[in-house]
Amino acid sequence: MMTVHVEAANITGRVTVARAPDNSDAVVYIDKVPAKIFPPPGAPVVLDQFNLKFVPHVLAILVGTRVAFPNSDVVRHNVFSPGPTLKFQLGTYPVKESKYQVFSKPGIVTLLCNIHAEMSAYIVVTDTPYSAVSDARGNYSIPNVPPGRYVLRVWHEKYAKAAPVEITVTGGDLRDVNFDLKK
Amino acid sequence: MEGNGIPVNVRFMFLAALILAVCDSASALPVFARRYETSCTTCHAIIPKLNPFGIAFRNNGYRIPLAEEKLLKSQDVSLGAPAWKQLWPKAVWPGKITGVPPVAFRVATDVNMRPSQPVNVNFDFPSFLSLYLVGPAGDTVSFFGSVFMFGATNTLVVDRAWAQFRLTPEKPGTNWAVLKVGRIDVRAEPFSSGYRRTTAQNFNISDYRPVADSVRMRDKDAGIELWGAATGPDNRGGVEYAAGIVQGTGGAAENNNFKDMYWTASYKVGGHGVVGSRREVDGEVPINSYAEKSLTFGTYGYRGKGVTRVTGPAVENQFTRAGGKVDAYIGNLNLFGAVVVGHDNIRDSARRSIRSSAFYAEADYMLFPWLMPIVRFEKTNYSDGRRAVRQVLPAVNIAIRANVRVVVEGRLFNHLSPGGTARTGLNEGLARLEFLF
Repeated sequence: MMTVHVEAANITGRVTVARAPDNSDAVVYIDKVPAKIFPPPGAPVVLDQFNLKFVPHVLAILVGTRVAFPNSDVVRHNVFSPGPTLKFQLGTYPVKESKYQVFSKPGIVTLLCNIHAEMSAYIVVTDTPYSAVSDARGNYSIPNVPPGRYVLRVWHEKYAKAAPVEITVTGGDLRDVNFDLKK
Repeated sequence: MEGNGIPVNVRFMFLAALILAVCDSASALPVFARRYETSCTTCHAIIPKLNPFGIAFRNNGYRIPLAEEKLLKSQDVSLGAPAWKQLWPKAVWPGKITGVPPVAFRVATDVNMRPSQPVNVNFDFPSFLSLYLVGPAGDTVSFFGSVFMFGATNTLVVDRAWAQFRLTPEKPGTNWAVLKVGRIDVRAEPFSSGYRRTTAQNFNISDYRPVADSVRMRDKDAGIELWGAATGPDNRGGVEYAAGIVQGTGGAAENNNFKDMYWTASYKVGGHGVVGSRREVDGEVPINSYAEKSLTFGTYGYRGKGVTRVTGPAVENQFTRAGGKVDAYIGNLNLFGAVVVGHDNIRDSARRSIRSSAFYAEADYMLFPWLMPIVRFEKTNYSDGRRAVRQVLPAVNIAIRANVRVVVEGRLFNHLSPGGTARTGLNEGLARLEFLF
C-alpha cells in the first residue's frame, strides 16, 4: 500500500487598508479546522507597555494562550478590557512588574489603560494557530497550513466586518491571497 | 525701567526682530499646508479661491477625502484611543486635536487709487490682518475661527467662530448631514466671499443692501446650519445643500424675535466629486485640479426681518431674497454668475415696498498656474427710482509664491453709491499684496 504524503503549505498575500496610515495590524486567520483542537503554547506571549503604548498594537493568539503584560515603561500602567469577548481588569501596577491573563474564548479583545486614555491594543483570539499580522506594506504569511478547505478571515480595527474568503490547500503554497479593506 | 543704558522697549523690539528672523523659515506655511506638508495650490486655484479639490476638502470637514490618514504629516493628538467608544456611555467619547497648532495669518497691503476722491492714492498698509484657527478635531468635528484687524481703523472684528458636527456615518464621497453652530458664514451666499472671490471688491449680490442696515449675504451671523454634500452616483459632481437659522443681525445683538432663515441647493454635473471619490481607493491628491469640465447650477433663498433707518427712526423691514447661480468649468476657464431678486417691505407709515434685483457674471482664466486674469460684470437695479449700478471689474491675480499673491484690479462703474448723486465714469483701481503664513 502506497502512502501519499501531502505537505503543509504557506499562505501569503497582501492586505490593503484604506484610510489608515499604512497597511499594518490587519490579522488574517483561519477561524476553524474541523474536528481539531490545538493546544495553546506553554510559554506566555508578551504584549508589552512602553513609551505610553501597547507593543504590539495588535496581537493574534490561539485560544487558551496566556499573555504577559509587562510594564517596561517609566510610569505606572493599568490594563483592562471592557468586553464583550472577555472582560477583565488587571489593575494598576508599577514599572518592571508583569501581569498575566489567559484568553480562553475566541474573538476580539480590546485592551485599554485606565490611566492613559490614548493607549489601546487588540488581541485577536483564534481557534487555530494559523494566523498572521500584516506588516506596514500589508504583507502577511501563514506558514504550515495542512491541506483542506478553510475560511480565511481578516480583521482590522477599522474594518471589523471584512468579508472572508474560502481557500483550498492542496499541498502547494497559496500566494496572493489578497484582501482589500474598505467601506 | 532701563538697564545697561538700553531702553527696555528697544531691547524688546530687538528681541522680537530676532525671534521673527529665526522663526521665518518655520512659519512660512498656513494651517493645512503645515498639516499635510503640501502646497496652497493643492486646494486653491489662486488664494483664496478654492479649486474643485479644495471644495471636496472643505465638504469633507477639512479632511483630505479618503487619504486623510495617509497624507497627514503631523499626527493628531489623541484625546482617548478610539476603543473608548466601546465604553460609552460609561466613558467620554474620545476625540482628537491637531498636533500642530492650527493657526495661520493673512496680511493684505493695498494701494488704492481713487481719482474722484480728495486723496487720489492711498497706502492702506496693512489693509487687514487676519488670524485663522481652523481644522478637524477627530473624525466628526471640525472648527473654524477667524479674527480680522482692519488697518485703516485698527478695528478688531471676530469674523467667524463655529464648530460643526458630522451627523451621518462616514462613507466615501458623502457627508450627508453636518450641523454647524456659531458665528457662521451663511451658505446661501451664491459664491462665497471667503473662498471664491479673488478681487478686493465684493460680489455685488453678496454686498448689496437695498435698504439701509439690512443684512448682506456676506455677513457672518450667529446661527445654526444644517448642510450636506454627496458626490454623484457616477463618482463625479454631486449635490450640496444647506438650510439655516440666523439672528439676521450680522453678528450683532438681536433686534427682534424673528430669526432669519435661508436655504440653498445646487447640483454639479461632471468634474471632481463635491466630496471626493465614492470609490474606496487610495486617495490621490491632484497636483493641479483647477482644470475640469463641469456645470453646476443652484438656487438659494433668504427670508428675514430687521430694522432699517431709511427716513429717521428705525422701522421694521421684512424682506426676502431669492436667486439662482451657474458655475461652469471648461478646462482652464471658469465662468460663473448669480442673480438675485429682493423684496423689502418697510413697515413705516407709508408701508413702502422696494423691489430690487442684481446679477453678476465672471470669467476666470488660469493662463498659468500662477497667473489668472479675470473680468466681472455686475448690475444692480432698484424699483424706487434709484439709478441702476453697473460695474465692470477687470483684474489680474498673480501668485508670486505659493503663499503670496498680487492682485491688480480696476473698477469701472457708473455710479458712486445707490443713495448718492449720480456720477458717471468713476474709475478706481487697487493693487494688493497679500501673503499667508
